[in-house]
Amino acid sequence: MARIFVITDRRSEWKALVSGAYSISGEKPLVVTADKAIAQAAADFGADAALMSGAEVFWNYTDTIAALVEELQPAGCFFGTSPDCRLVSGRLAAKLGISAIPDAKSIDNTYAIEHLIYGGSVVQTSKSTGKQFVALFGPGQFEEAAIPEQGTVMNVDYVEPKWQIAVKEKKTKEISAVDLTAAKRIVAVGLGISKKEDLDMVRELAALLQAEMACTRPIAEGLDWMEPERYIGISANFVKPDLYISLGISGQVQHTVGITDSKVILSVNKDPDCAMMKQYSDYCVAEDLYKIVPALIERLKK
Amino acid sequence: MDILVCFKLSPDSKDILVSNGAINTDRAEWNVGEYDLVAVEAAAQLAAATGRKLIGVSVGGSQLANTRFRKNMLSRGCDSLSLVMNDALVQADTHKTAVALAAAVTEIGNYDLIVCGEGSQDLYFRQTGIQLGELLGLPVINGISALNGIEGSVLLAERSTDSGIEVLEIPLPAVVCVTSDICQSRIPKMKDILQAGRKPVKELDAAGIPCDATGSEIIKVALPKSVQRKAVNFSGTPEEIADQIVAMLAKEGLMPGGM
Amino acid sequence: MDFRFTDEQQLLAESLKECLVRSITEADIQKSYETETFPMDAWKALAENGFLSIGAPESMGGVPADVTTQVLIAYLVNKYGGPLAGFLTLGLTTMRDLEDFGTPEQQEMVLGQYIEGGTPMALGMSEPNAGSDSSGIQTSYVSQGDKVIINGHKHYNSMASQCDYVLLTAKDAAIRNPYKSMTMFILPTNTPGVRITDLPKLGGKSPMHICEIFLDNVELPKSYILGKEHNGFPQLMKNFEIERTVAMAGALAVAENAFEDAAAYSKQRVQFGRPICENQLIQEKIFHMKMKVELMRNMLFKVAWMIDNKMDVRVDHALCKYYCANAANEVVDDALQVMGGVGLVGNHRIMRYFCETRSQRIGAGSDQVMIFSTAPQILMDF
Repeated sequence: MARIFVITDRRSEWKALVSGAYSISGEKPLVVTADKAIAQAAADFGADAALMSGAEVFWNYTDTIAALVEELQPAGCFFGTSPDCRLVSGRLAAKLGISAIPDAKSIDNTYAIEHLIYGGSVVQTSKSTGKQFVALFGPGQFEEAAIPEQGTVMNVDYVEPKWQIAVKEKKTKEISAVDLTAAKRIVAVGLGISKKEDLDMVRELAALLQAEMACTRPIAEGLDWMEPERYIGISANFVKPDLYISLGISGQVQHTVGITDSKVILSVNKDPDCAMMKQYSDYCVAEDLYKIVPALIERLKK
Repeated sequence: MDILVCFKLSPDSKDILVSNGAINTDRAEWNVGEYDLVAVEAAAQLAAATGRKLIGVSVGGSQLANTRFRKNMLSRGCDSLSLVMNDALVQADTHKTAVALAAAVTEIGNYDLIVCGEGSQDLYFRQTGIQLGELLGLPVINGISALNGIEGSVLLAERSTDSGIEVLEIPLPAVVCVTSDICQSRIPKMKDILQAGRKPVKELDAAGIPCDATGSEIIKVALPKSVQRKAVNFSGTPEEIADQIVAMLAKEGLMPGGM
Repeated sequence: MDFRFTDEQQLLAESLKECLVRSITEADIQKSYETETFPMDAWKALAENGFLSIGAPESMGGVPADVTTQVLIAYLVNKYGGPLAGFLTLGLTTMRDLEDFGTPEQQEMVLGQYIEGGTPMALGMSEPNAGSDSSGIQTSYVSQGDKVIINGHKHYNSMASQCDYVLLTAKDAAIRNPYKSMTMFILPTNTPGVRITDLPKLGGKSPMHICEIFLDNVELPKSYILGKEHNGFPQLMKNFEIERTVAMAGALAVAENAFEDAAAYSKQRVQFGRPICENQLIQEKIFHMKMKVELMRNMLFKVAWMIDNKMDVRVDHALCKYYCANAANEVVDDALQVMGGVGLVGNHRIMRYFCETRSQRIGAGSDQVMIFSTAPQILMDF
């Protein structure tokens, strides 16, 4: 079988992708990166690495990557799910005459790829119509496992892009180091929370339970009350904790697809008719979370 | 030079059924997803600010003939629509759609900016706009969270990434994919709704548009596995409920550090 | 026979529903009832989105709206906007009367502020001795040069204490014939001599106050006469058919909401081991509620269509008013029965609906007046 390329701009993702690529293809994957440290770490992990250089922005490597694919004819490419990965993988797919499969849930050794459509209500399995496949995997889709035998690092010639978009300024923010996909206990909030300050008591509860905090998409992206790394849903984190506590979450399918692998789900919501309470919970509390959370904190402190 | 905005008419997710291993859209209402409506609003605001015309573009099947859909888009700031109707494009994948769109916009011409949404409500690949830009050989960028104006032949924009905001200068012509929270979709006013019926809709000759460039082959569709949950109710005073919760956590071995 | 709404009406309905859903929630409505305060923020949102200029004169930037569209708008605001409908229904009446009888100055004065999210005209017609018999009013005025002096007492005036203007009927003291003495006035509520108080009412607390108006030597320039002096009674009769029809849009919306609440509840309420929707007697209520809601809808929009097509609705509008008011009461009563204790204790909206629908069989043309005024007409064909 031909090898698989692993391409990501995020430091945290490549190991799982490499392990997944190896388990599917049985071949040493090739990590394509512009980060020297990752290239070396990949080789130590057992993968080969192709080190790119010459660009200030990740999307300027699109033609370089395409040339490498044309030259080495891999079985396909695994990408991460950062905005830059979506951009580069999409452009690459256009060049290859195929569709890249985003937020893939699984891939088998015939390169049939599973992913969710229609807001999470349908699972679709598809294959590429081209010579390669391109699939994007979010964090936690594969178990990390090192590959036997040291890999090698090679340098890649830079292919100049045909156009430039100037980045005049970067306003950076702290990247959260949280990995919800590995969390054993999670406390998640939804729009039942009325003020950002109220997250303090949820934080206290999470700390007492040694749980990670998470949320639904509107809390992170709409209201900006939590980091985007903390939202669980169809286009973000899929989690598999032993305990998942939902506070004030109504249970729209875009969110609940991300929690189906939870062992035990406990929900607190004023509305006993919401989907979260009726369909997705093992234990239901039809009460105001503003009453239950303080009571639970008191009880746990004893 | 005009601004083009692309949107997709698709079946509403809530009406989708899977029967006999296939997706059944018989009972589905077809509409334009919220993220596309947001893109239309962002494009309309930029068009108004820069004195440009806004042309709404869509490729799909005979559903695009629906007059209510057309008037809806024309009441949201589009000066006209250009549509490609070919049933071969129904349920098209992202590459096939992008190829058709590329041919369509080339025929429409006279544009210096194409705006696309974050993703469609049905397939949500978040990729069609990106492929469109690449097929046209134009600068293309995603994650655009602000459109701040056009100066000369440069679009001033901001891009939202994991690590923060990038302030960009994008040379035109270009394709931009905007985020779902770049702005709120508008509530069309009665005046705009009444005038919509008088705005032009151009149906491009489908024969000149390639509608067969499938980039993926569907092997199977199925319902996601559902987990039967216990739905046990805890009730009483908040203190009583807290006791019940802690007892359950202990019993299930879920307390930190075990029992 | 095409029963569908036009594309434009469907798009308007979607827009209006979106605006209402974004600007007012059930929790907001409950709060407005508890504090007896009209939700002005949500009202202003309707204004900002241009919905209050639908039906206003084009000279003021308004968009014309036929009766079908007005009924559709009233239905949606009642369905999703709760108390906002109180102002909206008065506003539609205000616009109609000012368009038909108002001078450009009067239109500018009242509608200018209304369209921007101000208040409509409240109605000042009913009196302790003149309810169904609207010509029996005793509030009267005398002329003094280019102004009049009004004395009298009105009551049951919805939202008068919350509006800046009242559409007042008063009779010229010098004229005996009750059908030729009535004059309509636009009365600014802050005019000296005007005193408005709130009355307690069935249902208790509400953001829509019901008031009485005391007029003590109120001076008003004759330029505030709406239409022609002494032409008040024909003017009153001109639009009342439309007003009754639009008012029934509220009956439909409330009945439909009550039915939907009851149906959803019946699927969730489990007693004796199964949801109560599996019980036949509950199913019978569900069936009847649905049937009545559909009949109300059909009749309401048919009468609106008849009015738009300049057909005589003297009989049909009365049939519609009677049917909708009574059917709404029956539907809400059935819904309450299905919901049981939840509808009697707590804050469910069915409680307010139960009280509010009862008044529709009395106000704006009582059941008995509907029959009394149309049965002879019906019999004329035989």
